[in-house]
Amino acid sequence: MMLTDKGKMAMIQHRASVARIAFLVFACALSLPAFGFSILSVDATRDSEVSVAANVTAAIEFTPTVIEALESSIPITIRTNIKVYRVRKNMWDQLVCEYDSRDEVSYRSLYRTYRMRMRGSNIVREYDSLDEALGAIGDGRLHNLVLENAQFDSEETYIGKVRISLDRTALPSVMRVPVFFKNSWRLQSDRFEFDVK
Amino acid sequence: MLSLFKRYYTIALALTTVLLVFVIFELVGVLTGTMRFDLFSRSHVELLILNSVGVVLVLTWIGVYAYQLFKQYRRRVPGTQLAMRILRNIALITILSMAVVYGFSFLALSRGIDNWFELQVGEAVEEANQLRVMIFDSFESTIRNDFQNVVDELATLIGRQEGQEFTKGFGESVSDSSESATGIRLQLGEGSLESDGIGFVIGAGASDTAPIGDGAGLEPDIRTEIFQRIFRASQSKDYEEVTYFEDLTRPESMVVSSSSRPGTLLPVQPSQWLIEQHLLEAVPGQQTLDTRGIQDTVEGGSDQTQPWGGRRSSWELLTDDDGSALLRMLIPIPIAGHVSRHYLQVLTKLPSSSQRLAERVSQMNERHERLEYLRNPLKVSFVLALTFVTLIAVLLATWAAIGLTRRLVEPIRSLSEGTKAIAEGYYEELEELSSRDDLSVLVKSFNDMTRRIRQSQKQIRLSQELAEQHSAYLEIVLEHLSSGVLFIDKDNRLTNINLATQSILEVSPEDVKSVHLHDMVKWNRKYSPLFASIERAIDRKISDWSNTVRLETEQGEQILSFSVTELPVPDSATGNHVVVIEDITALVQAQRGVAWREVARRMAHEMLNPLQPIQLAVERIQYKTNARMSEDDSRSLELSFAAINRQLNTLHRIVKEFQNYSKPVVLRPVSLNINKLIREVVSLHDKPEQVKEIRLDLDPDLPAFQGDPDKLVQVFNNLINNAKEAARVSGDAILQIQTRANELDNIVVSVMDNGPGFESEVFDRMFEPYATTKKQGMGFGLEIVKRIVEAHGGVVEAKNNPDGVGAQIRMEFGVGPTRPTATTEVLAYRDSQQGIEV
Repeated sequence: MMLTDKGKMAMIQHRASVARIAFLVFACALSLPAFGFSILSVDATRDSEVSVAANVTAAIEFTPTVIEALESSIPITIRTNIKVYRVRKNMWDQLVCEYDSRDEVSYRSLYRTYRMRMRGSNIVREYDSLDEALGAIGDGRLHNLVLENAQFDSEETYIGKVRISLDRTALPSVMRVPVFFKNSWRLQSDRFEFDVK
Repeated sequence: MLSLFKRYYTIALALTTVLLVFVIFELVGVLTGTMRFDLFSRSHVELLILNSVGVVLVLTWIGVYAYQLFKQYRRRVPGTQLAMRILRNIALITILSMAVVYGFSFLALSRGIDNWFELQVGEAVEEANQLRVMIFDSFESTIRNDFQNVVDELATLIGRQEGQEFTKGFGESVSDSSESATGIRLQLGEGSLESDGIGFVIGAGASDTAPIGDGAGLEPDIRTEIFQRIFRASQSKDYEEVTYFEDLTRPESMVVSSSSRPGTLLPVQPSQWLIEQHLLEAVPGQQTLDTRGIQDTVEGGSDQTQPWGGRRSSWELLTDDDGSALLRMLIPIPIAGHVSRHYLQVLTKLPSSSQRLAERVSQMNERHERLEYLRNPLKVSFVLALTFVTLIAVLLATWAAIGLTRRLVEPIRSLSEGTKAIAEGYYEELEELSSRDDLSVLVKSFNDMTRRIRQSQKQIRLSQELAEQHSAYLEIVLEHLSSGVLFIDKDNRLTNINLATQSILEVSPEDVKSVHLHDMVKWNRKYSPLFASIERAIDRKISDWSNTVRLETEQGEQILSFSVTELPVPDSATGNHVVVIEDITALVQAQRGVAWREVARRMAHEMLNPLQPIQLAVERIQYKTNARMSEDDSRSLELSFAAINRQLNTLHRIVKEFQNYSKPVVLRPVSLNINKLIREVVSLHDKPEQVKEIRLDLDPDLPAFQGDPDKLVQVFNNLINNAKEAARVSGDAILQIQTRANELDNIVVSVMDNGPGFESEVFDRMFEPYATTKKQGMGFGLEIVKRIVEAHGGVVEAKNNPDGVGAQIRMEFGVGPTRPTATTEVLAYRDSQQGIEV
């Protein structure tokens, strides 16, 4: 059967619509809202021309699925990402410093304790309960940020953005694909903006 | 689409290569479980998605190629049948083999992973755990034995104070004890430690007590007694810490504690889990406990809370500040034989060997738990990896098949296109293959063949061009040939005629094209003898035949000479026979003139020889007889002599005319004004008794003319004399002489009279000798005029005036140089060769 030009156009538009909807569904699937973590406050102070002390207070709570994995000896890593920007007018803010902190929480079944290890350092702490371990990460945790190739200008305005998230890339590789599309593993806070005093 | 495929083949190749690299990294990462490359490790999922997209793209590319190939196959494009066959077979073999491999691998992976967990490892871990539990159970038994007496004594002491309250059973009077607790404080030697909370540390030598915590509902003496008992027990067996809890549901209700751990202020509280274990055992069937600090739902006997395999435990391990392991055990204190909430907590350090064993078993257990948890993700990952490997293998095989197909089919397609191009006249050589297989030999042979054909074609083209040049040359020659040429095909039809034929036969090529000779005979009666003669010659199958025909036309006699020749190689374009026609009328006339002049010359010579002796003899006779004869006789004789002399003079004039006629025209040209020459001649004839009027219409702008004035004077004299004689017949003779320069800048001179005009019987022979209607005259005048005019390179013609009154002689002279000799003598060279058919 021969199609008229209008028919062909309609078919092409229909296919384009279907493709567009499929793309939107896929994009929505990839950007499902995250939950579980929330940042309550950040108190950031410049303690020198090249460093900032940021005291981050956050509420961190795992989903039952994550707790089950944790108690099955799967270490869970919580990533704290802080960025400091120099505010500019009529332009994008300039990133002057980025800081990443990763805390690994693991369960020791022999002692039924929760071990928190700050990656990148030798600090290891044991907690009797998960709440205590997560509280140690979220209750007023102090992070020291150091600018590498810049220094603070007293006449400039600086702001910071912080986000706490469950680092899925630190999970065992075989788990990454299954957890990628699961909401119970999409634990991260909104990006919290704060002033750098 | 094929060109599109060729264009994107490289892109697809690069895409597949990149994809292959990614997939290899992916597989390494999945199979080893550890990513060495940080980029790929962190982008594991994104890489997987990229790989999936890449696989889909390559699959799409292959699908599009297969679809296009199928369309070409249906259109019977050369080479596609072979390509389809190769692709189909390779795809079938690959898919079948890979499906078998995939199926077996899938089963092996699934079963293998399940077996790893279900058989050896799980059982080993379980057994190790059981072994560890057995070891710790032995510790538990030892501790229980060590504290059996203490427990009995404490039960007696507590039972003495509590009386019947504790005999009612567990849970009936708990609230009271918590509310009445006051706590105690124990002195350590000279100093004292005072706790602000719920616990304390006591060392050796304590002698006094004070309230601690909120669970000290016992009498001070009893508390002291309890402390002394547990202190002695701990010291005797070297236990780290022994604590008495009045109510286990409230850990802060600890009453007394004995500790040998340096630097420890408060006794270690039992974990919620351990408390839970005891309380659930104490109250069977209770599923949840409303105890502070226990938030999670606990199911009795569940493995989730039973790390040691579903068995309720009265002990647990904990790490000390120095990293060593401690065993904590809760020992219930039954009051009056009933379960109560009074407990002793005992902490003892594990031997280092047991601790190491416990650690290792614990690590193994954790590893097993982790693996158990990762079991399904591991299967998914392995299956995913296997699927990718299979897909990549299929893609590679298909890719290789496409490459092989292109490699095979491309030369075949090129050969096919090359053959088609040769059929259409294009002789381009194919690109030679770099390989040295049969196809390259075939392509090379094809190119050799193409080269030879091209060379042959080139030679043919050159020959053709040469033939065309030759043909054009012949055509030009034919067109400019004074002889007419006709081409006749095998069916006796005219195929072509040249320009001279058109002039001779007064026809156009379109009129006679494809006309049969027989129809040409009927076409024009005038030329019937010619075409009848030609047809007869062809019918007789004479290869070369010549003849002459005399035709009667309105302009007079026309004599045509023709020859019929059979072509050696018949040609459809030219025909089987060629006929050459020549109009020899002028030639015959020239021959006739030459003959006449020869006759005249001989006659003049022969007549002149006897005339002079005759005249001398007559004069002599007249002289001798004149004196002897009488006057009458003499007169009579005079008359006779006068008659003889007149006849002799006539004979002399005739001889003279014969001599003039027989002389060749020899010109001595000079530059002259023809108008002036005409006026001079006219002045000699402009006499009233001879002519009434001679009108001159002379063009003053005539170009200069090279001519012999004597000969031209002779011409004009002859013409004027003829005109005067003709005009006198009709009365008043009026002549008109006109000069003009025509468009070719030639000089045209016309001499007209008002006489009766030319008679028809002499019209055809106007310029021949003896063609005259005059009583006197030999008829040489116009013939001499013609010869002189032609000697000047001109032409002369005679015709009657259109109004029917008089006639005119028209002469046209070229203004170029005039040859000094006559030209008319050269025309009689074929006299002896031509027969004349009448």
